[in-house]
Amino acid sequence: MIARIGFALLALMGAARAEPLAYITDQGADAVSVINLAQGHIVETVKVGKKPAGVAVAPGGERIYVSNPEGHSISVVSRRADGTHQVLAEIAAGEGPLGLALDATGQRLFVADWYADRVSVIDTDKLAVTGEIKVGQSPSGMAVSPDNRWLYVANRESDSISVVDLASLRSTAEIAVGKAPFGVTFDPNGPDGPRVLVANVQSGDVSVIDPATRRETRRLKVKSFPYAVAATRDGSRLFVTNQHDDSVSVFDGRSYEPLATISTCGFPEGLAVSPDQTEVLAACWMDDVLAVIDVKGLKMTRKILAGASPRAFGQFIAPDAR
Amino acid sequence: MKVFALAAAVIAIVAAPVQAHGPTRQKIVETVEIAKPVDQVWAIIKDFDGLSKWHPAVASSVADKGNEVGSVRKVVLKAPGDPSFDEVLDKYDAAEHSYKYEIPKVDPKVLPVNTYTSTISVLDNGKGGSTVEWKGAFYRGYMLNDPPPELNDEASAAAVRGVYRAGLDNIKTLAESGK
Repeated sequence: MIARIGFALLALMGAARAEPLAYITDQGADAVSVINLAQGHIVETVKVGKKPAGVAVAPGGERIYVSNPEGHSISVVSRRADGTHQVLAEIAAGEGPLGLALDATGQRLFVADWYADRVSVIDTDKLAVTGEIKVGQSPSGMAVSPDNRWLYVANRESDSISVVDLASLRSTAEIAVGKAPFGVTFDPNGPDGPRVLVANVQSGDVSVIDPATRRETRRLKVKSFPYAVAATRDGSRLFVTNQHDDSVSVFDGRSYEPLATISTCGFPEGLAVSPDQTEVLAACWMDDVLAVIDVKGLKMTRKILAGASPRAFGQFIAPDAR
Repeated sequence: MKVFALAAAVIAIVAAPVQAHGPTRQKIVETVEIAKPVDQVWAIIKDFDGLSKWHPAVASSVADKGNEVGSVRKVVLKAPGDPSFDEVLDKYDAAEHSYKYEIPKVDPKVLPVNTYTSTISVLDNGKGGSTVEWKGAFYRGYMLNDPPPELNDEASAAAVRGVYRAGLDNIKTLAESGK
């Protein structure tokens, strides 16, 4: 009997979990909007710290981490079995925490500290800062390689990417990219092997980096003030948000041929592919909406209301699309 | 331990002046309802070099390439010393009755903003009239920590809001008086 109830509960939880969720940091509301992407609306608003920007959803989706640049802290949000959320803790984290990335196991959270030119390491069991990594100036976006060995950090004011060895927690290389790099994405399925994709805000382009040689191999021209890059799981399509052009650029992920520039809404920023790979979601800071783009048709199909001034900078989808 | 603390303090001092994007981006959205159809209202604001014809604080706004993307207009204000700055047209969509432009650089004493972009649009309000929407995105006038009061977030937002209100209210006056 107990086993049966347990099974029924698990099935229920599974059903609840199956509907993909977007965790959108609403910088103007000091909150995170939890958007059910199947239903197409906000299902819960969770108050976090001051001016939230960065977000990272843990593997499995039970934890969501949010950076609060003006609260100088990280909010740790937990998803309960019934699908509701609670803030577990707000951890003091340097001077200007912005970009977030989790290691592949979810045990370490990396926090880019914009003002202090370092990355803090948070142990997600202890919920405490356990280390610091010196990087370049004004670190922002970050990504971890799926083999859990390397962390790539965009140094916005150094025009470079720091490569951090996750065993020693030291920066071991610095790769020159375009001007003012911001969003960083690791794509394991490039045409020539894994690649790191970097949005360069001021040069208006995307750097493609070969992580094996640690060199930039290609530069893709996009529109004004690109912010973040997303790749489909198979690497066949690349999407880039252009903040000042109110658009999303699309490339063939294998040939790098530009396919489209899709008009979206004002200041598209955080960007992610839905777990089923059919849609791309872009948070539009100016218009307080999430733009939904059809991956095949390359058209915006709908807009979902978010909270005030959404940023969604980081991995904001549960379950993790990878 | 003492050595580390000293090193950290030195790093903090050295690092502070180079920050270029620490503050949070500000957003202002102002609108005005006008009892005239979209085409009539759009006719008032559609020319990028026509700002001085409808904005009461602007003395002149000559543009080098009209409504072509990339066109630069020199905005001269009605103020002692003729303060001015350039605005660059980024997008122009006549069908949507909307255009977007930016200010590459401006003296914060003239307008206390950084990385400023703006979009002005005329929308059908569904009641036979129009809504003019003017949106701005920018950082405050002082990009480091601890801004002086005249260059902080509130002062910068108030300045932009003031510019938008004065312009929008005058568009309404011009449109509804039929001039």
